[in-house]
Amino acid sequence: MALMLLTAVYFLIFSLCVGFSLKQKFEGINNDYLYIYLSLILAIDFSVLIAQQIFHTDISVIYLLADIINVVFTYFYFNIQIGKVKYLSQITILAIFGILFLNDWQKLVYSDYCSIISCFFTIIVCLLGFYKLLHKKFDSAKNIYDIPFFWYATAVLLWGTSFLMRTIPRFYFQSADDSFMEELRLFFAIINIITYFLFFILLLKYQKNGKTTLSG
Amino acid sequence: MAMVVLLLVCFIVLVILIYNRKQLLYLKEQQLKESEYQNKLLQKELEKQKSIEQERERISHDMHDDLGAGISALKLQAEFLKQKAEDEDLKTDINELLKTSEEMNVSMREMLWSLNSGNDTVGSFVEYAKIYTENFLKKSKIQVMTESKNLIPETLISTEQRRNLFLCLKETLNNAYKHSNGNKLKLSFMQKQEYFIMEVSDNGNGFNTEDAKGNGLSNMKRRMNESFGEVEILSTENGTSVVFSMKT
Repeated sequence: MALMLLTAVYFLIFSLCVGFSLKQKFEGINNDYLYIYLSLILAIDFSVLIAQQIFHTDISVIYLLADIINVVFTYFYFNIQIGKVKYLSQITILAIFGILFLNDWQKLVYSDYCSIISCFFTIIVCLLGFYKLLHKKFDSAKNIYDIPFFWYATAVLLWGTSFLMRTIPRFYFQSADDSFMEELRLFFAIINIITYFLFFILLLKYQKNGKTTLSG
Repeated sequence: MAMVVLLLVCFIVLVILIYNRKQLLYLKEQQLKESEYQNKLLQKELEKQKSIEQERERISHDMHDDLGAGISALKLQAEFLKQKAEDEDLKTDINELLKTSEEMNVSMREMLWSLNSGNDTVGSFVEYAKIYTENFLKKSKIQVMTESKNLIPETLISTEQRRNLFLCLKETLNNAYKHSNGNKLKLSFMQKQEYFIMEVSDNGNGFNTEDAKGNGLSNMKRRMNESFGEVEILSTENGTSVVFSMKT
C-alpha cells in the first residue's frame, strides 16, 4: 500500500517535471534538452508500469533503452555544462557497448548488469563534473546553487548510489530476506521522489536568456 | 542504504563549502586586481599631471628669462631713444611704445602668476587679486575696500579655477570702472564649507541685468561653469554686486 502511494507520488512529481520542461521548451527557454531526456524516461517508466499492471506483461527489457539514454544524456549534459574532457566520448561508447553486450538477448530479459554499468558511468561523470567545478580555473562569480550541473549531478548521484545499494543486495538477499527487500524498495521509492524533486529545482534554474553553463 | 545517502549528503555539503571558499577567494582576488588597476590609473594620472606641471614651469621660466629680458631691453632702448629724440611727435610715439612695453610686462607677470602651480591656493589668489584691484583702480576715482572672512589660505584651488576666477575679476573690475560711475568698490572673499566666494560690489548706478547681453557676462558665466562654480549678479540703482562662488 505504502509502495503504491509512493509510486503514485513519484509519477506525479515526474509528470510535473516533464510538463514543466516542455512548458519551458514552448516558451523558448533553453533547458539543455532536459525536456527530451525527462520525456523519454517517463515514457519508458510509464510503459513498463502500464504493461505490468494492466496487460500483466513484463516489458522491463526496455529499461535497456533508459540505461543508454542515461549514459548518452549524461555525456551530452556534461559537455554542455562543463566542457569537453579527453577520452570521455570513448568511455561513453564503451559504456554503451557494455550495456548492449551484457544484456541477455537470447531470453530477451533485462539484465541488472546493464543498469549497474549505466549507474557507474553516470556516477563517475558526475564526480568528474564536481571535480571540474572545483578545480577548473575559477572564473565565475556565480553561486553554486545557480549552476544547473550541480543540481543534475546531485540528483543523479543520489539516484545512482541508491540504485546500486538496492540492486547489489538483490543478488544475495532476493530469496533469503523478503522483508529487507521490501524495505529497500520503499526506500528507493522515496529516493526516486527526492531525485525528481531535485530535477524540478534544476529546471527552475533555467530562465529566458539566462546563461546557465559554468563558463557563463 | 541510509548510510550511503548520509555520506552523499556530507559529500555534497563538502563540495558546496569548497566551492564557496574558492568563490570567496576569487572575489577577493578580483577586488585586489580592481584596486591595483585603479592605483595604476591614478599613478598614470599623477605622472601626467606632474609632467604638465613641469612643462608649465619650464614655459614660465623661459618666459621670465627670455621674454621678460626682451621687454626690459626694449624699454631700455626706448628710454635711450627718448633721451636722444628732439622731435615732439617722435617723443609721443616713443612714450606710446613705452606704455605698450609696460602693459606687455604686466600681462606677462599675470601669465607667470597663472602658470606657477605654487600659487594654487586660496591665500595666494586673494593676495594677488587684492594687489591687482588696487593697481588697476589706483589712478581712478574709485576707492577700493577689501575684506576677507573665514579664509583658510592653504585651501587648494586648481590652476584652471584660479585663472578663470581671476579673468572674471578682471572683467568685473573693468565693467565697474567703465560703466558703474560709482566711487567705491568693495572686494570681499570668504569660505563657506567647501565653497570659495568672491564678491565685487560697487555703489554705482547699476544696470538692468536682463538687458545686459554682452560677451563679458556670458564669458564670466561660461568660465564659472567650467570651474564648477556659478556667478550671481544683483544690480539696483544703488549699485551692483557680482558674487562668484566655486567648489574648492
